[in-house]
Amino acid sequence: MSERLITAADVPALLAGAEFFSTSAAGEGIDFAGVWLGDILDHTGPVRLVAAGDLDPGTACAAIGAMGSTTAMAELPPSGDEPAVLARSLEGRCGPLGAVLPLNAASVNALFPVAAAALLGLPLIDCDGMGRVFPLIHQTTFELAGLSLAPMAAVSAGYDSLLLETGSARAERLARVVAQSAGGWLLCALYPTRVGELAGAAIPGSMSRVLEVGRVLLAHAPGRPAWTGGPAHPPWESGPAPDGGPSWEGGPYREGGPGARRVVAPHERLLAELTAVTGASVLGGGRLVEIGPSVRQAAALFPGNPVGLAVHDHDSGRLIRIEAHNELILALSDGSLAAAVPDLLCLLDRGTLRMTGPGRLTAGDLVDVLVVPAAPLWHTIPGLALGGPGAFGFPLRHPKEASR
Amino acid sequence: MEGARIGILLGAGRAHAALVGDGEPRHATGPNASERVLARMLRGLAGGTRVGSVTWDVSAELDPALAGTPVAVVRVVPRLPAGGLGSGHPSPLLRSLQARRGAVIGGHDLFGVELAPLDIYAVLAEAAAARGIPALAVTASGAPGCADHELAAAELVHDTRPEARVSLSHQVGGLGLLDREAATVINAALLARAAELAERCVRVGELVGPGVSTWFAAGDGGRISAERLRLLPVLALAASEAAALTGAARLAGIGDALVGLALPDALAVGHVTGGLPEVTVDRPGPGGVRMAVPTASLTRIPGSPSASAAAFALLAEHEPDQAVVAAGSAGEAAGRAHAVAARLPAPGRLVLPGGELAAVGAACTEPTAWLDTVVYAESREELDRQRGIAEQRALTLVAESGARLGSERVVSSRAVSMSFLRSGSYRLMVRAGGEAGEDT
Repeated sequence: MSERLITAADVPALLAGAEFFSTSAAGEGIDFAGVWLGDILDHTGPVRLVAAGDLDPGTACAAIGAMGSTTAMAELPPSGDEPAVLARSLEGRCGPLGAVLPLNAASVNALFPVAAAALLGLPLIDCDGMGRVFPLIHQTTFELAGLSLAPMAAVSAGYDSLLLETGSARAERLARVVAQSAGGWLLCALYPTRVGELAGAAIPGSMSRVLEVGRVLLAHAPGRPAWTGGPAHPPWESGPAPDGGPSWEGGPYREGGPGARRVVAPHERLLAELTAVTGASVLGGGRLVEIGPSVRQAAALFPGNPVGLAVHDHDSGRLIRIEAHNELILALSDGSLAAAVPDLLCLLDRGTLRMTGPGRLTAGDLVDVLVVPAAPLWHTIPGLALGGPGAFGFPLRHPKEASR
Repeated sequence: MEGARIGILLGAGRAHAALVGDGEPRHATGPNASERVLARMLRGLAGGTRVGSVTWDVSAELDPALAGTPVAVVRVVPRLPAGGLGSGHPSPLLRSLQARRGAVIGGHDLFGVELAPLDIYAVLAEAAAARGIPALAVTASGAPGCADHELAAAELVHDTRPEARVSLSHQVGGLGLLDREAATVINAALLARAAELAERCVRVGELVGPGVSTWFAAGDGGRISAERLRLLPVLALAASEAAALTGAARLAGIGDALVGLALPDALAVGHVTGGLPEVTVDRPGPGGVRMAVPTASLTRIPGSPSASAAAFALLAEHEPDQAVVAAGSAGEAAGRAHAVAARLPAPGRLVLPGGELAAVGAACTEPTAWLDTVVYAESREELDRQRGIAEQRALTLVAESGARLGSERVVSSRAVSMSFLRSGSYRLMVRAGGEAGEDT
């Protein structure tokens, strides 16, 4: 048994980890979800996080995830009975649910499934179908494994509810239109299946990974509200620093022991820990020299608008150009493709030591660019077709594909 | 002719003032006492120099934990929270201010489309149930896009409870229901205190001399009128930090700077651009509560002076703007400032004003405005048009805040593409400023 409990005390780590795996764009402004989830867990008690193998293979389960804008969710938070509506909708088609899992353990979708599990009194399976944020609900490893997205239940914060019986791409299109008209987002239950079908179809350990990365970030990030686990005092207020507080505590240290000259900055320490935990690499870091609408024409299929960023790598002098469309899609280093979807591109703000993205950044900010390898399922030929650069309209081959 | 400017910081039992005119700033400190005592101190500081304005930093007097009155909180959303689950706020400060909380049906989406009609009977019931609670905070989903339901609720509350003070979230501004509601609750709790303070400070100004205008330093580094403080005291919170940044840059004679503010136990680092501190809307406010209100963006570097110095030198090394380190009057802070300045790469500047930095900064503030809204634009041209409208609104707000006619300018204007909404959805963030008309 690998069961563990997720309690209200885990919410700050969940939030921080959820921001990391959101690939910079969709994790912005999701603190509201932490407050909401914390209040729910305070009332319901902890949620059981279990491995799929710990449950009866015949247990009915479904993926839970929100689609739409996190800004819209922050403006129009869930009322709390959405998971019950979803469970009732699916029950008529698939029988009562025995467990839920995240559609993707990133951004708000690392938190909403926990809330759903808490409110439904069900265990949460420690896996997901993306390992990151993708813009379309069917860009999942479940899809790669041939699981059916439908029937899909969806509900809005205004209590509009629908049950879709259609193909994956059609479900995405139809639900997106409804989300736009229903306040900007929907909570969905999709890919209803049996737990036994998840082997090879889901990315195992996703929630645990979010929590682990979140704890690393929390140990370094100053300036978070007191109840999210950061310093008990806003930056200006005097007061004792909390245990494991900001990484500036004690100041920078000198690398290489006594007599060594190189000063290691706090962001470098954090990057070292993040790369160790996630297997990521640092593409570069320095000043953001350009941010604005991209000249690229994007496929109408995707919500949002393309955005372009350019980071001047301080050490090498290279220009890292990043294309974003909802999330960060690819990075070119001095014109050469250096990283691309489905691998995760993440930006770390050196000033705040928090993950950041186009919504928060302005030219002149100092950032580091991380590349986190996607789950192996995404590096297969079908995986790259569904989640690689070509799926986003870029006539480029993923570096892994090119090296085959 | 415009006279000298006085900035005054009201603190625990003490008042620190600075006069900023043609020469070096002059400083005075005295008890935070009666209006006559304060006016005498300011007249003494002026020493015959004509005073044009007095700008008060009253943020220490607006501590919601001490000065806040109980608030009835009314949330307007299209669906009521199931069993109240998920609607609570974890902040002990907010919980202590909320004497009652309720929710009624209504609200709009981000773009101002009505999601549910306002349940006016529920609003009336909430107003009646809040009898005896001196202030109400009303927050409707989508209010930044359409404030109709908040305005209608306010009218209903006024009809039922004409004596109650009411704060509406769209006046506070900002996106995100939870953060905006937090700001609205704190604002409502401080309305009574702000009215007292505004009255007191205006009277002191009148005693200082004829034609002296009265202003209040704001958390975004700008200044607001007494009228605006009475309506939106939340804007004056955290003003000392922003004013200190402004003061440090001004005394260094630099418009764009990386500023390190030395404190007894830490160094707080921020940026000043074009004479205004850089701001953020996601910094924790009073009691750690995040509010949708812009305040100076500061990163705190705790630890020993030598640790602060090494860290700041590292930041300054990567900074295109000149670095400035400054301290107020506290001896320990000055010691840290000296240590930090000694490590700065040339041409770093050390600023030790011999008085309160925030008082100097308060004197130097100018009217500002901040707008944060969502628009839909199908084409680049339409986005430019919408952005122009938003900028014009911000400029109008600056003028309404007392800027001299023609001095209004857009400080920054950003259109950020919104993720996962239909293509063409943008968040507009506009900051505008102007020069204070001292005779207003």
